[in-house]
Amino acid sequence: MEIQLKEDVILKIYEVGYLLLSPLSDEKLAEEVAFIKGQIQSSGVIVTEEVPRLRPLAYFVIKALAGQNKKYDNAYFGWIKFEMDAPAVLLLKEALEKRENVIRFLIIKTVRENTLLVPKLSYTPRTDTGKLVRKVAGVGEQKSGEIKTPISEEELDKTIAELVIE
Amino acid sequence: MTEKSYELQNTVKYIDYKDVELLKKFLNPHGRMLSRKKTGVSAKHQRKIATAVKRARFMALLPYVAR
Repeated sequence: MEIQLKEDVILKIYEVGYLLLSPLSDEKLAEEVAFIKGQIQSSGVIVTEEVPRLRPLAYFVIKALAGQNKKYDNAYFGWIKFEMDAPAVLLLKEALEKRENVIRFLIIKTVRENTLLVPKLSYTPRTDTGKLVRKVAGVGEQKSGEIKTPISEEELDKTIAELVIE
Repeated sequence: MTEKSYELQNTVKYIDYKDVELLKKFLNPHGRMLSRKKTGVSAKHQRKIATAVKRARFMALLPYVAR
């Protein structure tokens, strides 16, 4: 029984997030992503991914290139969620460490489901003119039986006079 | 229970380090994490938030120190 358990390959869900150098041509970028994907697909299965997008970094990240330290304040950030067994992840880690265009990467254990929060959808009715309709209690509401008719000036004077007498 | 903690405990099972906008709610203007006393979340969620913030900092999605 124990031998059987050892032989079974236990696949777990992992995620690799990576930062790629910012001055990178589209071809090089695609090449780099293809390399990472290839490494994963050699011993695992890709679950979901997000293509790298250029984004500003929260602080300067230093990377040593050809004996010189270079500072980067923006980079392409992308991630891939994949299924793999634990020993193969080490190989992926070693392969990524050797890549010059990868500034930094992070491999974590995660879950298969989508972990990013989806913003809640809210519906706000709009008028034909495109203006938002805001309902305020008591304003603009009319009882169904009550029909308002325009009052002439004479009638208005009469009602005012009645109110004053009272 | 605060509104934040209610939202977390009812909707979030996993806190993603890439969800920077969510994580920023748990940081002060200097980029430091808020205490449990202020966030009002459970110990379990506070630990998950802390892990996610540390991962986001490493990937330069969040600052270690902000002025």
